[in-house]
Formats: sequence, structure tokens, C-alpha cells
Amino acid sequence: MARWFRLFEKKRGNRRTGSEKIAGMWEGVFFGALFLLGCFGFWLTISLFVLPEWWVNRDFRPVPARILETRVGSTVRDGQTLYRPEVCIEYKVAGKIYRLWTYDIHTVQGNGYSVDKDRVSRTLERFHAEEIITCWYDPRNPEIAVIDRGFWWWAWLVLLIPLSFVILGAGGVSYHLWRWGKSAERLAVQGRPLSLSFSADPDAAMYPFVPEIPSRMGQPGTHLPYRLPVLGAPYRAIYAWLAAALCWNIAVLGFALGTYYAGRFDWSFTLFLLPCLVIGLTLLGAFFRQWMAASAVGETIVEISDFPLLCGHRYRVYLKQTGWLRINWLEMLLVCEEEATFQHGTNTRRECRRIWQKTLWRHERFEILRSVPFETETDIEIPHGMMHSFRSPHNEVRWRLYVRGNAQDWPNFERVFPLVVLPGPDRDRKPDLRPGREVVPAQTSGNEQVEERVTPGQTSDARS
Amino acid sequence: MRTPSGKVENPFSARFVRPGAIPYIFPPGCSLESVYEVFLGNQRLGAVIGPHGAGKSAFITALTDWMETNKQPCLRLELHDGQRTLDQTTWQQLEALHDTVVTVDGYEQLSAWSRYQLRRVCRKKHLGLIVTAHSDIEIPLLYAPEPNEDLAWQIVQYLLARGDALITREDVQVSFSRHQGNLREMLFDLYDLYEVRRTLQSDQSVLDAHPQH
Amino acid sequence: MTEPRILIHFEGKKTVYEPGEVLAGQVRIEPAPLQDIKAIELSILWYTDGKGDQDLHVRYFRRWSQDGDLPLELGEPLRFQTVLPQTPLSYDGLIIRIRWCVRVRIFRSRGRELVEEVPFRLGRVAPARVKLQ
Repeated sequence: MARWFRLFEKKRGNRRTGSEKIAGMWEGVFFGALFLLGCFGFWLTISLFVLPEWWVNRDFRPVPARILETRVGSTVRDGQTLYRPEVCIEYKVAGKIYRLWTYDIHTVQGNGYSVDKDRVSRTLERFHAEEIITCWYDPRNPEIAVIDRGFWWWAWLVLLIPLSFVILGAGGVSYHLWRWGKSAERLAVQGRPLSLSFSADPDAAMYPFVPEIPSRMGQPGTHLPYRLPVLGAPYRAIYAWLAAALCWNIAVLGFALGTYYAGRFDWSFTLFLLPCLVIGLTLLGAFFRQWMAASAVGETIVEISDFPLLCGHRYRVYLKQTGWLRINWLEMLLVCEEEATFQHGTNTRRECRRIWQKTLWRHERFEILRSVPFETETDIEIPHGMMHSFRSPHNEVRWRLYVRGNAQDWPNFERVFPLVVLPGPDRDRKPDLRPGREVVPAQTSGNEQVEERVTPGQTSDARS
Repeated sequence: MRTPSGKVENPFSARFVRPGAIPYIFPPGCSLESVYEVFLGNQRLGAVIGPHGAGKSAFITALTDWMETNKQPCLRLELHDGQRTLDQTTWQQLEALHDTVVTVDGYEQLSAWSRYQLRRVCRKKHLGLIVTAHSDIEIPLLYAPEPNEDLAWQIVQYLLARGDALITREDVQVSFSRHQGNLREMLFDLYDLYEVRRTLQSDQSVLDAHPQH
Repeated sequence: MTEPRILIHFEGKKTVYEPGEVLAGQVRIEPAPLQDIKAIELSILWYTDGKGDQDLHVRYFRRWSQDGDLPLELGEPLRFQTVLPQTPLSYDGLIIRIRWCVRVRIFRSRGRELVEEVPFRLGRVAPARVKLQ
């Protein structure tokens, strides 16, 4: 049945409809809009608050001025009366006398209003008629002068709001630009990678219902032929903490500022604000910790001598762990797990059971330096008679390599590397049917021998 | 798979315990007919309320099967994984219905707007509506399953008829208590226990057959 | 009237097969005559069992009927033959099982349909026993 093209996608149960490309595009547009909004807000805050103050403090020159009069200036905006201090001064620059109502640079620009009339009145109490004070004038335009300089501290806090939009937007756009043009196979470890038999039809595939080779297997290793892709990434956790910290702190800041300018900032509000600040700082701390942990732990690279693997065969595995750490312990495990998914009513119940595990090696108490990564090699063997990799819509048997460690001052870390294991040729040494491996029976007298020919560019696996 | 004796390998497998696989067991004085009478009395509206694993999905499946057997057309909707709205096809289907009872398993997952729209469509088209939820909602209560140990044991006995008597009443009591009345989790727990005992029994049989080993 | 029985025989009386091996056999329905049988379906399939939702895949399917492509010749055994795939192998796991079987279904003009299933093993994967080293 023909279906009109959606520009948005819908989730229906466990199925998604629509185009991933269009979805990615809209996501990119969203982050782009966030970025532009942040840039605009940043520019606005800088130009309205920060730059004028900086300009006054840097370029304006002092000159004595006489106070003629003071008053509470007022205006009505959105039905609310706002107030600001206004002082009429008289000063002389280059022989010319200037007279104007002013206070600070915001007053000169037509702003500087607040709801707090009492605070404005208290401000004006410092100034008396006929008093001589210092004012600062703009040398390029002496008609502009102020009697109060300094910086509004909260203007710098307000800057954080558009800055967070810029960071989130830039991060999102960069991520999508990095993703753009890459097929699903190159992006997702458990996405739609290369097929073992180049056929999506299970009846035509050579190894039906075996999860296919992860697409990143196309990346060759530097030490051994194949580099294993890593599942997941620590960056998601980092982005998540960053987003949570920014959202929370911005909300609290906005609420605090709004309350302050509404004139309702008192001790009871402070009591409410304190725990919010603690939560905000905790979230920021969590983000920094995740980020520093990811930086400190570094990249984990695992390479293997052959892929996919066969039951009953032995392979060489190489590990390289970068970072800057004092390791308490580091280990590598070969694991076989079952995962069963059951949809019962409104819940999806997923259960995972580890059925086989072998610790390949474990090293304790050593250092990894930035210039000297930790490297090691070992042999692994998939025992004969074990179940091969299997995946159907609700059930899976999977093989994985886990690299786990604990470093001083850092939380435990774990990297997971998926493997694809095929049923091995049996003990009668029946043909190895993996793609690219042609078996040519040799002409011998007496005992039958089998000679394995490997397609150029691949290596033969180590035999046990 | 059935063993040579005709029994299944594990009677607690998913296909034997999913909603509809086990005949619904009512407490004394309650039946599908009596519940249907309440439904008619509520202007063909009803909510099945209960905690996780209480048997809401099983009940709604049993009631729907019974209504269809008694020539009452039904439309079954099952929501999953935080599904917040119904798709376009379902809305069109609802608009085309007459004299049908719509059952929604997972009603509370719908957004407030979708729930309002669904009730509006059902009112407009004179459709009956039965939903499941974990807590009170705007639809009148139809039935509230309250599993207890006796019910749990009855269910287990029904399942064990397909297999071996490897689970005792005490096992059921312990598991039911551990899972705080969640029948679904209890049955999955008993799957593992049955599997262990079946394996031990099988290993013992091999040892008995070959005592020299 | 006696209920028909479905008899499924494997050639060589094997119960364990290797990947790539030919699975052949025949199905007989007794007792003859079989006038009220409309169609017979034979499937060679695997399915999962355990704690997850059941997955199933039919590897080989044949249907014999009076009005279909394959005529139903009453009294003659129905033969089947297929090459078994490399995967998935039969498996006894902790929470997942994979089972292969030959399933025959009889559709009748009167009475309920009949189903018979005979399992076989593909491969020699050992039953899972938790081993954590």
C-alpha cells in the first residue's frame, strides 16, 4: 500500500516508521536552531550589558561634576511600573558645559529599570544637590557621561544561558555533521552491518540468523588483521550529564533572576535556592567527573587475528589501553550470554544470562602513561561444542570480549567488543565455509588431506 | 518440544504463561458474565486496575475472547513501551467501527490528549471501552485483580499438568512472597527453578542407568 | 470413524543431523481412505522456546491439496527432502532453546485440523551449563 512520505517519524510499539535521513536532518536543524539562538542571545547579552560596561570602565574619562537634582525615574512596561535612579549633573569638557540626567551606562542607553523602588530611592540618598562628584564622560562624545561605573555581576551569569545553547547546539550540529553521509552500517555497531553472505534473505544466507559482521570490521588493525568495534561510547553519558547540568542550572538561574527583579528575593527564597544550587553543582561535578574519566581512561583498542571466529579454534587477541592512569586492576574476559525478550502486555521484559565466561588475563597495580600505553597479547579459544552466535527477533546468543578495569581515583570502567562465532567444522575437519575461504582437496595417495586456500588480503586463523 | 512422555520441557516457558495461554481464574462469586453485566451498567465503560503482574492483560484477553465468542465484536489495542498515541490507521479504524467494544491494554501510557480523543471517538460512535491501568483513572472501575497465594498455586498446578511435578506449594509461596504478588515475575522465577530441578533429575537418571560411572 | 494418525518417518531413522546434510523422509496418513482431507501441509522449521517470545522460521514448506499445485494422492506416502542449513543449530540453553522439527498439519472438510510434530537435532551443540572462570 502506498504511503505518503512523512517528514516526521512515529513510533508504533517497537517499530519506527519514516526516514532516518530526514529524521537526522530535522535533528540537525533543531541543533542548528539552538546554536543560532544561543549565538544571538550571546551577542545580545554582550552588546546590551557587557560591552557597554567594559567600554565605560576602559575609555571614559573622569571630570568633576555638580549635582543639580535627583529623582526616581519611572516607566511603564507590560502594565508594570519600573524605576531607576536619575541624577542631573553639570560638567565642563573642553570649555563647554554639559548638563544631563544620568546615572550609569544603562540609564544613558534608556534602560537600567527595575521593580524595586526602595532600592532606587536608597541609591539616590547618596547624592545631594550642589554636591561635587566625579563623573566619567565619553571622550568621543562628551554628551554621554555616567556617575556610576563597575560591572553588573549577574550580567555574566546571564551569559551562561545563551552559552549553554551555543554548546548544546554546536555539539549536536557537529555530531550530525560527523554522522552525515555515513551509512547505518558505519554508525551502529549493532546496526545493519555487512552480511556474511551478501543476502538479507535468511534462506539464501550461508549462516542464517547469525548476527552479521559489525560494519567497523572494515577497519584493519595495526597489530593484528582485524580491529574490533566497541559497543556504546562513554560520550553519551558525558552529553547526558552536560545537558542535565545545563538545563537544571539555567532553570534555577532564570528563576532566581526573575524573583530578584520581581522584588521577591528574601531569606525564605534563599533557603529554597540553596538546595537547588547544591543539586546544580552536583550535576556539574558529575559531568566533569565523567568527562575527566573519559579523558583519563583513554581509548581501548582490541584487535584479533581472524574474524568471524569458529568454535573449537584458537585466535590471537591484542589489547592496547591508552590514558593516564594508576591501574589497580585490568582484565579481559571472553563471555557467552543469552538474552531473551518477552513482551507481556504493556511491558517489555529483557533478561540476560551469562552462560560461559573465561578471564583471559588480569594485571594489577601498574601505570599507564600518556606516552606509554599498556599493550598485551593473548590467545583465546572458543570451546568446541559451544553454541554459535545467534539472533532472532526476541532471542539472542552472543559472544563478547569485555575489558574491565579500576584505576586509582576513578570509577570502574568497562569496554565491550562484540564477536561473531560460527559453528566450527567438526572434528572430521569438514570444510570451513566462511566467505573467502575455498577448500581444495589435495590429490594424495592414502590419507585424504585438505589444503586451505585463503583469498589474498586475508590471513588464516591460528589452528589449535 | 515434547519429551517422549508427551510432557513439555518447561511448562513455565513464555508461550505457556503469556496472557490468554492460561484460563483466567476468578475469585468465588465473580465471573466473566458478572463482569460484563457491570460493564453494561457503566454505560459500556470500564477500567481494569492493578499493579504490575496482577493479571490485567490476562483478564482483558479472557474477557475479549469471551465477548467475541458471544458475538460481541471487539477491537484489541495493545500499547507498548511508552507508546503515547495511536497511529493514523487505528484512528481511521475506530471511526469506521459500529457496535464494537474497544479494549486498550496500557491506556495510561497514552497522552492526556490521546485519551480524550479516544473517549470522544468511543462516545461519538457508541463504542464500548475497556482499558487497563496501574492506578485510578477517569474511567469507572470494572475489575481489580488481586492475586493471592492460592491463585498463584492454582495457576502453577495448571501449568505443571503439562510437565513434571517439580514445583511444590512452598516454592510458590516463597516466590510469590519474594516478588510481592507479581505473578509474571513469579512464573519466570519458577522457570529457572523448574529448569534446575529438571536438569538434576535428568543427571540423576543418567547416573542411575550407569552406576559404574 | 477412526481419527487419522500422522506418521512421519526419517530416512535412515536418524534423529541427529549435521549442517548441510540432506533431511529426507515421508509422511503417511493412516488409516486410508482419506476422503475428508482437504489439504496437508508439511513444514521443516525451527522455533525458540524459553523465557523470550517465540521466534520461528520455516525452512521448507510443502502443501498438498485437491485443488492446489501439488495433488493429494490418497494412499501414497508424501515425500519430503531438503538440505539443512548451517545455522541455527539445535540448542539447550538456560533461558533460550532452539528446536528443529518436521510438522505436519491436516485440514479436513469435517472436524478439527490435526497436527503432528517430530523433532530432530541439527548439530551437536552441548547443553548450556553455567561456567564462569
